[in-house]
Amino acid sequence: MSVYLDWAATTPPDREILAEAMEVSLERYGNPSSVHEPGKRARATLEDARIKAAAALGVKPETIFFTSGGTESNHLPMLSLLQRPVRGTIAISAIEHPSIVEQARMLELTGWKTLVIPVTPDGLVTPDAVLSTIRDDTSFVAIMAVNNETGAIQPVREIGSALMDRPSGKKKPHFHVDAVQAAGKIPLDLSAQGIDSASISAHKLQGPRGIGLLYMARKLEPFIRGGGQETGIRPGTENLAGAVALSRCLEKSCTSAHHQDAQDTMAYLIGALNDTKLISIIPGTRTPIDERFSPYILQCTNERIPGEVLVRSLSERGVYLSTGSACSSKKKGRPVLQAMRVKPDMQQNAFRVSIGNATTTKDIDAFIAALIAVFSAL
Amino acid sequence: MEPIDNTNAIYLVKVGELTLKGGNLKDFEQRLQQNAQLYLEGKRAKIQIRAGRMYVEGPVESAGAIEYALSHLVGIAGWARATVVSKDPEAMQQAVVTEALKAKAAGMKTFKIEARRSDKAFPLNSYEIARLMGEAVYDAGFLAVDVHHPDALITVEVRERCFIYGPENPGNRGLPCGTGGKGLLLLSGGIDSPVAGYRMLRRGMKLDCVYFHSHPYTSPEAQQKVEDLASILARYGVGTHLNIIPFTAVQQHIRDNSPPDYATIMLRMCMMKVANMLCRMIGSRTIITGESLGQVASQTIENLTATNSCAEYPVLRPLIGMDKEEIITTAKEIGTYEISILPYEDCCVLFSPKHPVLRADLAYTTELYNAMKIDELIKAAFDSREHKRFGWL
Repeated sequence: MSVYLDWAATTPPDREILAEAMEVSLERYGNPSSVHEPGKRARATLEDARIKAAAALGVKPETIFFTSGGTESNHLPMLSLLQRPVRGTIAISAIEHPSIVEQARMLELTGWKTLVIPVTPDGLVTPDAVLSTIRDDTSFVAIMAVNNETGAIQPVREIGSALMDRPSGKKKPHFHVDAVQAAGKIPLDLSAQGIDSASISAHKLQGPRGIGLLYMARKLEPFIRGGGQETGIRPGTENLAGAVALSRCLEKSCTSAHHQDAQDTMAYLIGALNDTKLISIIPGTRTPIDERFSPYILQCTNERIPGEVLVRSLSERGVYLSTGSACSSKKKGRPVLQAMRVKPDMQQNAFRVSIGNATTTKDIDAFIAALIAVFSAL
Repeated sequence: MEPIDNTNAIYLVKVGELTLKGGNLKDFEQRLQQNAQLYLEGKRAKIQIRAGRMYVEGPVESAGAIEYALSHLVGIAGWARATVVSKDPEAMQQAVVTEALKAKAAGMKTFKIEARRSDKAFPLNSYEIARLMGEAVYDAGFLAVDVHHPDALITVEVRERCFIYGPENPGNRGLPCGTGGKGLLLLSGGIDSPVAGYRMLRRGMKLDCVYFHSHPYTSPEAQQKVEDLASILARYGVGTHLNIIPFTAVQQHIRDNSPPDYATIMLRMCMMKVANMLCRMIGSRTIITGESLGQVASQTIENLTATNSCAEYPVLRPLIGMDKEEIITTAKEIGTYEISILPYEDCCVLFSPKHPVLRADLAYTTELYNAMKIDELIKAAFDSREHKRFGWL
């Protein structure tokens, strides 16, 4: 028996959605930019996917741009900063995904300066922290909607309004929200005041790899140029099958009732972990049902065994999870936990459990049994 | 005059330290030739050693294989691909100018001709050859003369044929592998131990390696790193064997039965015990480690003394007096550095004390060791070893 508890890294794909995407690939092979009949049919399918994705997210279709995934959606608004004649500062939270952090480092090489917005020990970015970090020359702010390691839900709505409400005369920076772990998982209102762009990836929602979208209410001058597809925001022949699959994923996940199930499963998981007396939750203040956290992601730690060793030992017992972000698990250190001032030992021993709509309490029981077995063996 | 065969690639190889040997020179030469033959099996290459030179000649399509062999062969000081021409001054001049052109293309600006004549019947002496060849390059006009610090040294050797070659590639020097007995290298995924192994290889030693893993505390990637390192050593050492010892139970026993600050020394002592068993089994006469005095806590002279007390064979520590920079330089040269710095640890932090003892007392450590009653676990670890062989290609 195997138990997959690494849904935040990627999800087992939805067979129906993939089959539909495959069908689209085979049937709608025309290039959406072509003027002939197959081209037109492909264009219509693409625009239909855009409308559906927009509807699921509660935004206008013209604000949706299909991309290759989360990383690219995070990069496009950042790269557009390269078009600015004057360099200034960008502000990112201390817990952003490597695709934001590393791109910020790249921008530094071109003259931009990065300001880091601190988080509370619970891993939350407050509007006050944002306001006290940004400066008059801050052109870009990035805060993720749900942290990929702790599940902490960031008050992006409040931050958006706080940025809007600054004294007149101060230019509002572009506010980008990495919504990769939030879309389809928690209530998310991208049309909220002050949010200028957001990124979403299909494979976190049981869709295929290589497709995502960028929501952009306020258009930026694109840096990447080409055939003008996606109104120039993301040139390159469109991934039609991917776009259809992503829109289906969003339709399924944004409207379905499984969020309550996830909440129940998470409460059960936290309860079971607490009962073992081996594991502590990060942050310590997180309760089994806690509105401040995504019910899909849980960060834990322990006193004794390094996270990496636990992950390896659990894998041998058929339980699959990660230490932190799959994108940074090969690197040393845990920047997110460090930003939360977690003690170094506890950072090293930390691991992430992330669940999905197929996760059952039986899976959790099997995980807990394996965990106890590992602790007694090591 | 001997006909010149241009379909062959010919290499002139300077043998290194071998030339200092007296009565047993033949044995060393023979071993060098055998090793070269192993590298070039199936490549239709002829290898001869004559008058302090090794000649490797093979079809042009074997040139890549020959160059791979020469850059890994231990016991040679340098090598170059030579152009062979008849002993005709005009043909020689032409070949020298071609070499000069190659040097120019490689960005060199100055040259010097070095001439040697072992065929005393040749009408020109070394000095006259050098002058004549130098004139040809000078007249061609693309390199300037610099007899003190030339960028390109072009050598003309008049032997039974005339060999002409440009700047020499450095060899690995040392003595041919296999002339110095067999040693067992304690190999980890770090920077030092592969370098220690390489240094002993260069003294003619044949190497076998031993690696201790503590799965699941250490990752399969950490072991893969060690296997990759062993495969690099194998290229210089005409192959090697890697013995992999599962040491988790031993480490857990140490953790549970000795003071934390002595854990590392206890572990090193246990490793020596396994090394003894392996040496006996494979016929190794020595244990080789990458220890460098004072580099880490387990490498103080007191702690080395404690570790040593468990070894039944001489422990060679070729890096003992080297600093980290020197070790890293060699690691980069032999191609192990990039692997060694990969982030996979081969010892879990769980077993590494925060404050290891710095100056262990031999009597006390021996007492601690005996009190652990760990010998059976060590034997069991030895018995469940895994073995992998790495070839030289």
